[in-house]
Amino acid sequence: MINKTLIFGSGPSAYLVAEKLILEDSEIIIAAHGSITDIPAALEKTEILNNADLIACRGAIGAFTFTFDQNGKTLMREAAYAVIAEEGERYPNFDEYGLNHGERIIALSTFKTVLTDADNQSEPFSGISAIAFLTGLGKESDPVILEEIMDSCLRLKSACPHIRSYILTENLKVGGAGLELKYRQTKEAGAIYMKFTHTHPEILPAENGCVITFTDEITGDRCRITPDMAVVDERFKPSPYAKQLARVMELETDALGFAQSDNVHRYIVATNRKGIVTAGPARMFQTPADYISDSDNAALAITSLKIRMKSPLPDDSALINNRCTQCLTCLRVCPFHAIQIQAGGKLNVAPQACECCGLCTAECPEHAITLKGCSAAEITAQIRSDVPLEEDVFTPHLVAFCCERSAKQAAEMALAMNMPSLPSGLRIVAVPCAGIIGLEYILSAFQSQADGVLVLTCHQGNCHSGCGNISAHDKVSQASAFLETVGFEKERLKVKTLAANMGHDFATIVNDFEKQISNLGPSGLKR
Amino acid sequence: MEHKKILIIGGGVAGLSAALALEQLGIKASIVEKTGFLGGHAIQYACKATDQCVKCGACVVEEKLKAVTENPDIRIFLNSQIKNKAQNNGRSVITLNRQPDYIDPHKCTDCGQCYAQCPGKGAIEQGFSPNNHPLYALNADKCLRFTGQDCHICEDVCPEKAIDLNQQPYKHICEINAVIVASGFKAFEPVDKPYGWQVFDNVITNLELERMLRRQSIAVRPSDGLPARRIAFIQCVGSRDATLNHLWCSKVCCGSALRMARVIKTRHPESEITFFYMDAQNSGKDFEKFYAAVQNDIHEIRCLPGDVYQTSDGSLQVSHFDQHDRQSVEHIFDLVVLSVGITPGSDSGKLADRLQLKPELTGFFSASPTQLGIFTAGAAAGPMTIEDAIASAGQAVWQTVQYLKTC
Ligand SMILES: Cc1cc2nc3c(=O)[nH]c(=O)nc-3n(C[C@H](O)[C@H](O)[C@H](O)COP(=O)(O)OP(=O)(O)OC[C@H]3O[C@@H](n4cnc5c(N)ncnc54)[C@H](O)[C@@H]3O)c2cc1C
Ligand code: SF4
Ligand code: SF4
Repeated sequence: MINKTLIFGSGPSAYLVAEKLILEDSEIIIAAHGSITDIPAALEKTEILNNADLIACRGAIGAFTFTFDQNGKTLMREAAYAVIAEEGERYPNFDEYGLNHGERIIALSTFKTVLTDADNQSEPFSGISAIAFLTGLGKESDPVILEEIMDSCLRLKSACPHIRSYILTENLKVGGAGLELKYRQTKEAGAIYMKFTHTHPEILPAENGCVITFTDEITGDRCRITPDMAVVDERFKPSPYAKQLARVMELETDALGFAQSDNVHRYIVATNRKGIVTAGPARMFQTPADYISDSDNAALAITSLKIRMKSPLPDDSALINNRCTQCLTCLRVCPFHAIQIQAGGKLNVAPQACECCGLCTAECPEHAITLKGCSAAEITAQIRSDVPLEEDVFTPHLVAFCCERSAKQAAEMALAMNMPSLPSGLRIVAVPCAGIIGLEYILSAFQSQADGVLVLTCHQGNCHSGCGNISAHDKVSQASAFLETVGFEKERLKVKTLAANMGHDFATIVNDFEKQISNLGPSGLKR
Repeated sequence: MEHKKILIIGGGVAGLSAALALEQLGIKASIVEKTGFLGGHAIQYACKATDQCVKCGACVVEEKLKAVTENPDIRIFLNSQIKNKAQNNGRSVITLNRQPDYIDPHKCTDCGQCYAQCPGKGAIEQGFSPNNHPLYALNADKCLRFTGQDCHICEDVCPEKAIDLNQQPYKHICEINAVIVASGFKAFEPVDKPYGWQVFDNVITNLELERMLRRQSIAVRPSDGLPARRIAFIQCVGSRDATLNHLWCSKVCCGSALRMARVIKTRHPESEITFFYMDAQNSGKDFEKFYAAVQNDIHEIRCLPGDVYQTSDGSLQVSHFDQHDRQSVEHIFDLVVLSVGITPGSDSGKLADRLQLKPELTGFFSASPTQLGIFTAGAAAGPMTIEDAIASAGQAVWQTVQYLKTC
């Protein structure tokens, strides 16, 4: 069994993860997109692939094959796990402030470098008596940036005490460890903060620095400052290569393209592909402390996975039987990339990568995939149990298909806390992911005496299976359209979203639905 | 590693996450929780999703709690605190003070009869999650029996005979290899602020609003239970406050208030929400987009009000100095929500003494304590989000594992 971990990256984040994994006796390979020259001593014995451009990723946890293009040649490496630890990129906001980069109008990173060099120069910043830091004007900034600015102010104060610092911002982002204190320290050191709410400063480049005109929002006075230098803040983006990695490995990304979706169920370093974790600025912009915390969490995640891989195979994963015609539908729908093509074209499910969501079982046109809790027989049995006997007074029989992790938990909460009591004719059918509920089950419920059917999913952006909930919504609208064409009241079918902690909302939804169905009367499909 | 034992102090999201991470490595963890319920603060929060999840992380805590309670390898000591820690051949001997459970978890079915019928106000407390088992706990400070009266209603009404009020506190001694301090924070109590908390019924804290939304999905006026239409959020109460020597931003309260404001407005578009603030702090990865959306829903006033009065009709009058017009301006609200901040745990000084730790000047624990074999996780080390608390728990577990190799 291969036991290697492949780390993507060529900067501090990759080195930190590598050093920690070495402590756990992991064999590692580092794949750098560029070429690494200064390798930390601890990594001297590590295999390093330079100029390695990932072009394919196959397999699943325990047995990935990564294919690289290395200077025109194809290179393959096998690894059990992978860590994406690429560095991020910073983009100065020159355009946002209508400025061009120049000798006296520079980006924060550049300024930090000048400041570091300043210690060795006899007259750094000669001819400069005031510097304006521009941050979060018209755009939201970030505590990481504010901390860098405040640190720069403090260093500047000790290196060149005669230089005045102005900090112009809208919302001062002190929401990070120690920043409020640092804010006070910079003020004591003479930094002048100007905060804007309804107005915007007008910033014009000048021969030596820039001219900033603004309205003092407290006094209402028009003011003007003429700093000799403007330092422009930056925003973070994933590097184009990190984006490529996410694309090639088919990982979920967030709105900015970082290699991790902002789904809360992926906290801290997980991706949708088991065995692949993401750390440092590859997943979000970070403080230096976050780099360390992320590398600890990544090393912890890989170490736990290794232990799990040594334990007996889980026996509850999906299985593909010989009805399979290799249409590859499952390969396309599995959110976790657990389906693999074997030599000879046969498909199988990697048991350790399977999260048992059941989406493949629902989509397979040949019904060739089985999963405990997801078979038609099991779900139908749940639907058919407790079908009420005909009563004199009409009590609607409601079937609620509930996502096990969200709506089902909300139902438990409603029951335990009596928030308020639930309809007597309610039948809860728990499914691993609401995305498996389609027309068949909905009709089966109506044929089993249901007067109303609810499909209850998690909220958009909160699905363990990525977009099982969206799939559920799509399927319900298709089913609604079908019911309408066959002349059945489509009001008897409804889809709603819930989280595990929404007991009260669960109760409200089912009770309101019961009222609606009471008004509609018994379903025409009832025998 | 399998025979090593770790003690986790505090059963909030940080402690729960640490226990789960240790368990995955095959290391035995015990959680010592001083209250009768696991989950800490964050198990009390509501979901703030509109049609979309807004990434508050509250449901993750629910999931962690479920995983811990379903895991037989994680030992849980409720109603317990550390009494002292002594050293014995490289292992630490910990003595726990255990208050009785009074309600036997093996017999209790969470039916709630005791809660419904207890005459002592607040003597039987209800947990926040169905994953709290028992869902009820006895608070001896409020129980009539423990204040000298001859009450045994709960013992009598419990159909399972699960309640025994004659139990005595006892000590539990255990040997352990390392400690993770995850004792969390204390939400600031704004009694001394001029905002009328605990004076006017309709002035509540953000924590109280979270609980209210969790229980009933709607913001109401505590005075009469009617929906609150005009709502004010006052930020930075007890945070960023030099007069209290609280020179920190609590980091989470802007996001918390904005998310609650948004979900209230979405469910009840007739609500009018005002946000009094200093600087809006980021929450989540895509704050820019989220903030732009909330700004359409709320009225922002960038200053903190001077005080809050109750008018003759029971409404609340909030006055602030309008910098633009250079005069004091009054607004009327049905409900005022004070966004109280994260402050050091109420007994963190005592806990520090017992563990021979030196807290930081702020009163929080250091993120990297110097005592061998002691690590910190979560808001015990300062203001944190749920996500941060989980990350710091992972970090503490990693450090613990490295430490265990040396002993
Ligand atoms: C109003 C409000 C809203 C918030 N909203 C959000 C949000 O939407 N999203 C978000 O990410 N974060 C939010 N937060 C922050 C969130 O609450 C914290 O990140 C989280 O609770 C930290 O978890 P913890 O386990 O470190 O601490 P806690 O939740 O405080 O848990 C600590 C536990 O330790 C126990 N304990 C304390 N002392 C001892 C002792 N001596 N012995 C034994 N046990 C002890 C306590 O009883 C408690 O159970 C919010 C905070 C507040 C105040
Ligand atoms: S808003 Fe919060 S509680 Fe609701 S689904 Fe999203 S993360 Fe979970
Ligand atoms: S998060 Fe917002 S409300 Fe809380 S202390 Fe910081 S600035 Fe104030």
